[in-house]
Amino acid sequence: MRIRIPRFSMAIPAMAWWAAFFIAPLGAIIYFSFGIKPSDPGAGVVDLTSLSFSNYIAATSEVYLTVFQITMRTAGLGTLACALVGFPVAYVLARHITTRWQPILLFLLVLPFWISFLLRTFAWRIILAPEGVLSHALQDIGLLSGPLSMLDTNSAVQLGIIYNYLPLMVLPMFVALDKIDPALIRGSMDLGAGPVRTFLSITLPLALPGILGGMVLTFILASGDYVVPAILGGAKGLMIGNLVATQILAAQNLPMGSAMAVILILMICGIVLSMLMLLMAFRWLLRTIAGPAVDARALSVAVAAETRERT
Amino acid sequence: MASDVRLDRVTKTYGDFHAVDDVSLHIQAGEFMSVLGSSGAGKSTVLKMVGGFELPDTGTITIGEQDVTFAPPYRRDVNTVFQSYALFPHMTVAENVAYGPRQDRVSRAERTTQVRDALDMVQLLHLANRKPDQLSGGQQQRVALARALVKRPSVLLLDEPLGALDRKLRQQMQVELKLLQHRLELTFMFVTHDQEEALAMSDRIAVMRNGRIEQIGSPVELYDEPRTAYVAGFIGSQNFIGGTIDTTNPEQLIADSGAVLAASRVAQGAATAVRAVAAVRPENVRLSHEKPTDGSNTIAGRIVTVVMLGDSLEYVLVTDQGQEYLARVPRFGDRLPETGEKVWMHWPRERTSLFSAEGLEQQEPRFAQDQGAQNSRAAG
Amino acid sequence: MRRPRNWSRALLLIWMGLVFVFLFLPILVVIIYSFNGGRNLYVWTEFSTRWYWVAVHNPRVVNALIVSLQAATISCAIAVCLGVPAGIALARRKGMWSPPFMVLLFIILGTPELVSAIGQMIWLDRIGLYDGLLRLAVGHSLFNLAVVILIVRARAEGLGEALEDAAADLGAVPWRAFMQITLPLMLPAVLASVLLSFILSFDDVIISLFVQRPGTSTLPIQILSSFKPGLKGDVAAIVVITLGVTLAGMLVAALMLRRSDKRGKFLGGALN
Ligand SMILES: Nc1ncnc2c1ncn2[C@@H]1O[C@H](COP(=O)(O)OP(=O)(O)O)[C@@H](O)[C@H]1O
Ligand SMILES: [Mg+2]
Repeated sequence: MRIRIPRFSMAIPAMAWWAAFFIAPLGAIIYFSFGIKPSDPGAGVVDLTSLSFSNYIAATSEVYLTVFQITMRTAGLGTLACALVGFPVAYVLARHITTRWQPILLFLLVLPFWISFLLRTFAWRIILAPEGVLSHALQDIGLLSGPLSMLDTNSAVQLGIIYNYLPLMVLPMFVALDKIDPALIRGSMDLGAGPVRTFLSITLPLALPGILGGMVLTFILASGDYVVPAILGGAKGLMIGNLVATQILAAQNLPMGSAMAVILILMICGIVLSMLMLLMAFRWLLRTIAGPAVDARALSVAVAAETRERT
Repeated sequence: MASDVRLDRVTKTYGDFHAVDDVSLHIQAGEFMSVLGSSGAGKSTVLKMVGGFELPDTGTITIGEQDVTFAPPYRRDVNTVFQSYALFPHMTVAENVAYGPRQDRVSRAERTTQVRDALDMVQLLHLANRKPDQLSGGQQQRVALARALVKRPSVLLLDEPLGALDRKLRQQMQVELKLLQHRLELTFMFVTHDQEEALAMSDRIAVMRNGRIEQIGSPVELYDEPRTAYVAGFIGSQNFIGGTIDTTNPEQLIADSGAVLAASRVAQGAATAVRAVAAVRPENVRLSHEKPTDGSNTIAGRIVTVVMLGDSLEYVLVTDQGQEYLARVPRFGDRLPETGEKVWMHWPRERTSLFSAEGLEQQEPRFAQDQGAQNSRAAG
Repeated sequence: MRRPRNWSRALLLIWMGLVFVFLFLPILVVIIYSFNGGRNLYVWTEFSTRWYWVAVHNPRVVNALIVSLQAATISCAIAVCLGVPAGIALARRKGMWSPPFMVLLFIILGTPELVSAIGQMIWLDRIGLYDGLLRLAVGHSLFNLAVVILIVRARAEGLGEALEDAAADLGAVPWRAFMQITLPLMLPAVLASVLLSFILSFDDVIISLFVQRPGTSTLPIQILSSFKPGLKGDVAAIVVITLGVTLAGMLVAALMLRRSDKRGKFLGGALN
């Protein structure tokens, strides 16, 4: 007699682990978000006797909503900036760098990503310090009248976000561009398209999925960030991450923090979806501006006639 | 209209490696010129420079009256059929073919007509709305051809366009390409590593080796009067017998085995070469049991294998010194020797050429290259 | 006719150069300023290693470093023990189960760490797991597991089944073929994934912040908390020390990946 071992048996431990420590906690968050914080501190962290939407209502009040908005804007602008700054880099790496240098530069590119996030963010406190070198230099050449006052504001957070997520954005774009057969570019030029037209009609459409992937990834990570606003944002540069942490760690309001976490996820889903749609629209736009390649009707008549003849 | 192409002392280096070294080549308008050479000879690099994808370090390239040495690809009246076809994966067949006319701002109605005609020409109209990945290799090849031809370039460049096709399809496409070239009266610059293909299709062939052109000539010239041992061995199959030139008679070779071989053709440079070879094609070698006395060249050997080629037999012989030679003998006639027998190979002096041995070591192994024998083996 | 100059290429190369400067300059700045002997971190006074002395003689820093290393080691062990078989299964035992499994994996990679951290905190309290070190290890292991699975899968797929088939053809029974052929070839990928997950765990802030218990702060948390009472040079010194630890791991991992994979494949091709 043979016992049939299921094909996924080797993956069972991993599944069980995730079920126990990832899916269950996610469920717990959702469950907790409908509870309330008990007024009596001795009664535990959450009161789940009567479930309600009260946390959601509180979390979408104007104060919090503003922070949600700022978070989405900071993450969105950061993603966009990363894409704009990073695309040329990915492009050079894929197109203009010899195979000897390419791995070295790629290694350098991912290197900061593996260097402590804390350190990289912390560095900007030194650079942007009002009494620091940069501040003095800018004042000396007359670009600033007083000390640099960027720290502990939203613009410092914005800068930190761009800085930290740039390598993460370049990498998928590089992979997408690198996959495009250079012969396609030659083919396009051979058929009379200049560099700009080749870029718009061949390179960009083929790289679009990679660009999109990178942007989604960057956006998700940036919008849930805690470290950058905590270090560079001060009181003025808050993001949701800090708000949730405060609710849970300082105010001990678990249900409220949970509700905010759920809202964060929903917002990310919403924005990612609309980003997808935006990029589909972009693709459509590229095609529409170019116009149809052939008169589809006239061609299909000929095709149909030919097909009939063949059968 | 067809244009001529002129390469004048063109050189291209990568780092300090000479991929193309001082190449001059004049392709007549309407000519079918093949560039033949083994892998890495620099054929594609030459083609890329004509197409505008690489810029030469020195030298000039002229198409028709126009100096295009440094012109970008989109300003040249040439089109390319790429080795990998390079069909745009996100476009349909029709969109691929329409891409070129579109760059020239041809009106859509006109474009549609051109696409239809081009696809009709390669008999693919019924697949106009497919994506490239839904086509077979042969169909993709035809789309690439239609896409390049739809612009009516004055010169068509083809980089091993048939390399990925199976033998049957390849032979069929060879004929079609040749017919097409006749009909459209185009200049073709055709890169291949397949000497049979080059012989079958070309008006003239340029044989390349190590970035240089070894010889240019018609197929007949290259076959009958190769200028170097390399060309002699690369085109068709060839027996080479190593030795040194007889100091008293430059038309004789003293073979390593001691045999004296007389030749009617002595290639340039052979007389002064340290080592030389006598070359004779297998189809010119005859076998006999007795040593011939009519003064022809002879070598003794033992038959190790006989390969059936259809109308002829190919004998593989080994001499006492261990050299292998081929003889291709018609199947009709006297009693044919069999495996294991000791026989005399002989051939007339008129069929013998002497070359400097330089460049021979680069030859691929004879058996791999001797496609006639290989294919008949495969077929049998 | 003149040889055209490739201006756009030059501009792009310059741009890339600037971006690389942008990426590395801040890191360089921290390293330099960690040797600033002055009381105010931001104002350079003199070269000195005194803050390194201060940092390594701070028992809380040393304690945090030990906690960090321990937590990273345990979470690494969990991720590798569970991830290697799962990664191999994904490459070799594909079936109806693999697409949903991959979806789950990408959900884990895509979930904001913050959300995952809150869930951990609630859940670990619920099930009564109060050991600080274990909480950290479990919390870090979830993301690491996904990374290990991706790297191992990429490598196992790259190997293909031909080698095992060849071993079988030569008479090796399946487990021997696995032990003698597959596993040795997988080893670089496994080691690389160990090091990467170690670094990820070592650098983690958010999960640690939420699941930590009093007395088991990790080094990043220690650093973060020392931001509040104003900054002194010892923070920079600690940060540079962590950089040293990470960089060492990084280099080994990069060498492993270079040996096991083709050029330019980050995370063993997991992102492709
Ligand atoms: N971009 C390049 N960089 C460095 N070497 C190259 C490059 N392109 C071609 N080569 C080298 O130049 C030689 C000729 O290449 P190619 O023209 O493609 O040969 P062929 O087409 O005859 O096989 C080869 O040895 C090849 O390695
Ligand atoms: Mg080639």
